[in-house]
Amino acid sequence: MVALLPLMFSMRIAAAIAFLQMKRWGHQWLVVTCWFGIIAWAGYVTNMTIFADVRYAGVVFPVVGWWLYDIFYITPFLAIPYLHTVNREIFSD
Amino acid sequence: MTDKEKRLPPGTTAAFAGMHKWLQRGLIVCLVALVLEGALTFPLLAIWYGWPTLSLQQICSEFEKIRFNDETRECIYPYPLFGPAEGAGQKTAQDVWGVQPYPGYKRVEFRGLIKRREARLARQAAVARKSAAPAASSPTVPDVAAAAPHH
Repeated sequence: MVALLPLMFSMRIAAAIAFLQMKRWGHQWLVVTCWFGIIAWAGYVTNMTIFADVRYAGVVFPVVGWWLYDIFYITPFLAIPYLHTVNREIFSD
Repeated sequence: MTDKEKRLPPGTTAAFAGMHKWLQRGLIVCLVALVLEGALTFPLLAIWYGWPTLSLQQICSEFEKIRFNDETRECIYPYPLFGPAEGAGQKTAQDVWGVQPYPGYKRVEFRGLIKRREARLARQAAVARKSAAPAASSPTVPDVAAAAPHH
């Protein structure tokens, strides 16, 4: 996790800059790093579910608080449908 | 190309206009919320735990006392960079150890550390008064019974 996140975010920042410059590779790598985000999200949810008895042992709002805080991390689930349906002809190679 | 298609954002075709509109709204909500969470998590937690009544180091010290179930623990700051782990050699923590250790301490309620610290200071002051008072003034009450109850 410690090694993965800086790598992923530097790739994603580069991809986002290229995406804003309407580069084709920026669009492609934004899709790829979105999938990284889904993988990280799935691993995190799995860990927090399987080890919930440990993770939330001393927490005041275990379930409601977790949902309130983490629901906003679904952004890759929204970005991927957009990136796959955007008209790719407008990006330059 | 109709007038409606001309007004669509770049890259959005008419077929996906509705979907893109709702995805954009959802993304804006999420990204704004994530920025707010990132900015406010630490300050709100600090307030929950007792800042500014307690300093951050006092909060840290209460954490150590709770975590290691030891009222003599103090937060060391700045901690020596290559020093031993905070818990090295401790024998007081109530946690159940194993592959998945299970914490044995109580949850910290809203501003609970302030009450906890005040109760401890009152307890220590009572003990100090007892030991400072001449023994003849309270010959019938043993020190142990006079000390404030723990928790």
